[in-house]
This record gives sequence, structure tokens and C-alpha cells, in this order.
Amino acid sequence: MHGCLSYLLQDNNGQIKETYSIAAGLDYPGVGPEHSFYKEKNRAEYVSIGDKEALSAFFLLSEIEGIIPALESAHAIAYCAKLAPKLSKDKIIIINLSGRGDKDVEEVAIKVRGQESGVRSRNKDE
Amino acid sequence: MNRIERAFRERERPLLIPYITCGDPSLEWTGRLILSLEKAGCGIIELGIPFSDPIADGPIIQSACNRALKQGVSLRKAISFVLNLRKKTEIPLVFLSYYNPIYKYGLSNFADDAKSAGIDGLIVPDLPVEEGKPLRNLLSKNGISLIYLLAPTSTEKRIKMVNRESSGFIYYVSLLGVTGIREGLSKSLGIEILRIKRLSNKPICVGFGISEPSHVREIKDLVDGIIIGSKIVSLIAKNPGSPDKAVIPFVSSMFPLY
Repeated sequence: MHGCLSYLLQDNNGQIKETYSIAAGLDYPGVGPEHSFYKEKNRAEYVSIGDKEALSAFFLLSEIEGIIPALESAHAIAYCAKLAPKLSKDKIIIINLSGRGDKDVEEVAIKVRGQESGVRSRNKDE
Repeated sequence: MNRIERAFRERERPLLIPYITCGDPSLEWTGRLILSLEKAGCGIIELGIPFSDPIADGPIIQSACNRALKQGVSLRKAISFVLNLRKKTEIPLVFLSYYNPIYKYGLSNFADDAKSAGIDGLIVPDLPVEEGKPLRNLLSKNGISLIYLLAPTSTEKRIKMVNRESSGFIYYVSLLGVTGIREGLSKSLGIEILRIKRLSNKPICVGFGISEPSHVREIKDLVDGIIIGSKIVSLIAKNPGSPDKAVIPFVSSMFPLY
């Protein structure tokens, strides 16, 4: 799809399925060719994280480190929080924080406070 | 020689090639429309396989795809539809399908089943020539044409490559953009067609944006076939109860022009 031969969310007839993710950058039915290649070569292991877990991780990093992660990156943080307790203390985990969450603050506010109050606070800003 | 090649060899005037989406508004209507279009004098039928992400199509054909998908039409259903229709007509039938449904179906299975059904050609708008060898070889073994597209931006090198790899005909996209109804044709379209013809020995059919009798009059002496899609699909959309009553008079009105 879209010129790429890669993993896709599709049905048995090759029709592309509708997607949804809290992170706009993940709201796409295809996987980039580079990631598809890493998976084919077993160079990386891929796991999934749901919207709620990502949202908690968004707060976790914001509150503990004062760094607001992009919702996309928050998925990685959520997995890190799952993985870390299973590893010994001397292991080091590196997360690539691929984007900043300033862009997502409004979306998160709407999600957390509910649609209505999010819209109201936006109107007040204007 | 397949039905497409024969149609161009025997043509007395440029072939009129209507595009309809398979299953819009229903498979039954698609069958009736094809038979009526043949009777009206059309030379080839281009049958669109509905796809969720038709990147070369404008809003009119996108909506037709959605209507057909809601009818549950898939590549598999379209192939068995043609298998049945072939008992009633010998008109050349060309599928327009995006690559993913074919890839998912399996290239080899597709080539075999398309042959058994009596499909004569295939247009895959999102398949570049460079990636097309595996499909082309399988189709060619089964006597099915793989029709590539050229656009106003195609370089001389690319025109030659497409001419070499394309079979049946070459689809010339008249504009930079997606399918749809346009008021006028590009002013340089005539020169562009002549440029392609100088570098190619395959029939050239022009499509995208051709929607008015005046457009047909403008290019009829330059091309081997004229493809009309969105205009016909819009007539079907406006007359879902009896699409033939709008489509056939429109198509018939093109013939006195040439």
C-alpha cells in the first residue's frame, strides 16, 4: 500500500482495515519498510501497547522527569515500565524518545477530562 | 492474439472505453451495464475492482469503491462474476485493480483464475514497471495483457521502458492528478500524445478527466482509445435505480462525434 511492500492491517481480500490509535503518528494501517525488514531479519522484537497504557506512561515520564513524551514514544515508555521489573538492577534500558509531547497536551487533556471540558478549555484560550 | 489486441487491430475509429466499478450499485447492474455498453458500441470495458485506498482516484470513484465494498465485492467475487458474464459477451474486459488485493490473492492464482474467467487485461495504477516483472510474466503466460500507465511527467527513458513492458495498450494519464471530471483538457495534451506515439509502437489510450463530448472531439484523431470513468460513474451514482437510462444515452452521444 502507498508504494510500500510491508506489513499491513488488512482483511483476507487485501482491503486495508480502519485504524485507531491515541497517537496520531501510529494511526496508520501500514508498518514502515525499515521496521518490516528488521522483523523479517529477526533483528528486532515487536510488541504492542494499548491507548490506556500509553497514556499512563505519558504521565509517568512527565511527572517523574519533567519530560513530556510524544504519545508515540509513550508507548515505548509503557513497555519499559513492564519490562524493567523482570530485569536485574544492573541492566540499562535505552528508550529513543522520538518526539516531544507538547503537541499532544491538548489531546491528552480531552482524553483525561472528557471531550466537553477539553473543548471548553480550548475556547477559553482563544 | 487476445481480445484486446484484436479489438485494436479491427478498430475503425478510436475505441471508446468506459470505466465502471464492479458492484456499483450492484453486481447485477454491472452485468447489465456491460452488456448495454457493448451494444452501444464500446470497444473495451474497464472494470474497477473496489479498493479501500484507491490512491489514483478522485472522490467520485472513491465513493463508487465504497458502495461496491458495502455490497461485499472483492477481487474473488469480481473474477467469478466475469466467469459468468463471459457466457453472454465477447467484449474485451480489463480489470483495474490496485496491487494489494492481487498480491493477497496470490499472483499465480490470480493469473490462472483471471484466465479461466476470460479476463483480457489488467491495469494496476500503483504498480511501477520496475516492480512488475513477476506479475507480467505470469499474466503473459496466460495471454493476459498488463497495461502500464504514462503521465505528462514521464521521461523519454520511461516511455521506452513502458512501451517495452506494456501489452495490450498503454494508458496515458492526461493530467497530473487523480481521476475526476474536469472542464477542459490540458492545452498541451495533443503534443504530449504525439511525443508518446513517436517513442512507442503500442496502442495509446487516454484517460483521466475526459468527461465531455468536446474532450473526445479534441483527441479522437490522435489516439487509439478514449477512457471515460468518473463521468460515467457519477451518472450511475445519480441514478442508482436505473443507471443505464443515464449512462447509455451519454455514451451513445459520443459516437456521432467521430
